[in-house]
Amino acid sequence: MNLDFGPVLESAPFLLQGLRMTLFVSLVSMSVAVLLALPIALMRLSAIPALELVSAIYVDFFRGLPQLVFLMWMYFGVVVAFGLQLSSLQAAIACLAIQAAAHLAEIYRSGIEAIPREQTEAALSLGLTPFQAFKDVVFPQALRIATPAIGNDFIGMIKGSALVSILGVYELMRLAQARGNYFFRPFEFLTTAAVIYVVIALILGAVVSRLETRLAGTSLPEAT
Amino acid sequence: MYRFNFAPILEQSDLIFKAIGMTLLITVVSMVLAVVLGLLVAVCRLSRSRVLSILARSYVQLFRGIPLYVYIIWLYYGLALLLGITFSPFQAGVICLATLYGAYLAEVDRGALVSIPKEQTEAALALGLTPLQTLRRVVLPQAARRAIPPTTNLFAVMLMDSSLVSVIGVMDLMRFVRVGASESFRALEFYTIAAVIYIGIVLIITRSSRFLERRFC
Repeated sequence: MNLDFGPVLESAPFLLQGLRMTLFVSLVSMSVAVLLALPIALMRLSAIPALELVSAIYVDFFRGLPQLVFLMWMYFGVVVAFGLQLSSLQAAIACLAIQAAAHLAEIYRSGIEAIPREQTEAALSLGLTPFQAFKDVVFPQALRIATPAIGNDFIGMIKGSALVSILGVYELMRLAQARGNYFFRPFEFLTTAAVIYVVIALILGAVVSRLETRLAGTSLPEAT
Repeated sequence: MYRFNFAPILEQSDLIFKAIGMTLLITVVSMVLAVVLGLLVAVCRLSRSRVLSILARSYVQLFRGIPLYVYIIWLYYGLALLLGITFSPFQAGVICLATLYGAYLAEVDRGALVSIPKEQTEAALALGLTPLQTLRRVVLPQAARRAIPPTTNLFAVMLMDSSLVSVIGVMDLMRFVRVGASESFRALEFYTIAAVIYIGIVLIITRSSRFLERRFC
């Protein structure tokens, strides 16, 4: 057993570039997902059965679909069959965002449902329009409740983004594998990649739990 | 417009059932091991021994941070090469799934154990039960009931994640469709079938667990 991390240090610029791609893919996908999840959550909460059903199907479908199946289905199935002009990076972001939106929609929903109905009623009786009541009263509070869960989802997104290397996106995992094979040092490179992922998860995890206690500290005034 | 052709899949319907069987087998075996491991780690985490507690905590932190895909590739191509051990793809898959989900389950079990009031343990001890009896007869049965919903949920997630063992060559459902897709040039059909089957199994698991929860929890 001989370990040699020299090639890893030598490849640091590549790995950093991969890390940047990993963070880029995760951030872009998360931003899209955060927006996409809102209409899905609202449809679920609307009193219109057809919209509720569409939203429920979306959530069940994408939460039950393995990420790898979705990525392969999208990139080798849909893109090829319908002749779409989609790069592997675009396909990867689309998949991550669509799937994360299903999880986020459920997080939003439970956040919104946690706000007492009386608040909406009070806002309406004070003369706010339903849209204002949602935008200015319910949603800001719901978002605060949902923030830690959204943060955890983001950590999951970064971990999940390792899979898009299968499509050929040059993110951290793909570059670690490529450099590891080039130097015949897969163990050292894969260990380094694993450590980087764990460190990111630990840092973000600490940020999330920090956020959690802080948001809990400034909790809403209790109804008496 | 694309013309669907499911004939290449239907021709291999006997193979697809074998592949589904492999997916279920590897998930069930890994889950059983993960449940045992998770409980062990949770008990260590809550034990009075500082060393055990810190070890258990580090284990959980480490395995909750590592992506499954990275872990599988690391174990099968990295560690195996370094140590000169050869795992079969199935063994490597089970080791990865069980140890990773062991960490998640340890957190579930810890939460469930902590949720049982301390007074119950004290009362059991005061009544003359040994600490082991107290754990086995008083705390665990109640904690198990609370741990069941999140555990079945993790079981469904593990079933989805088990598709990743296809990358090291386990002949599971995912591997079957990948091979079929490249041989028949009918990728869309093969992956669509895979998606439907995975979603179907996950729905069966989550629905039946919700039913069980209502009856027993």
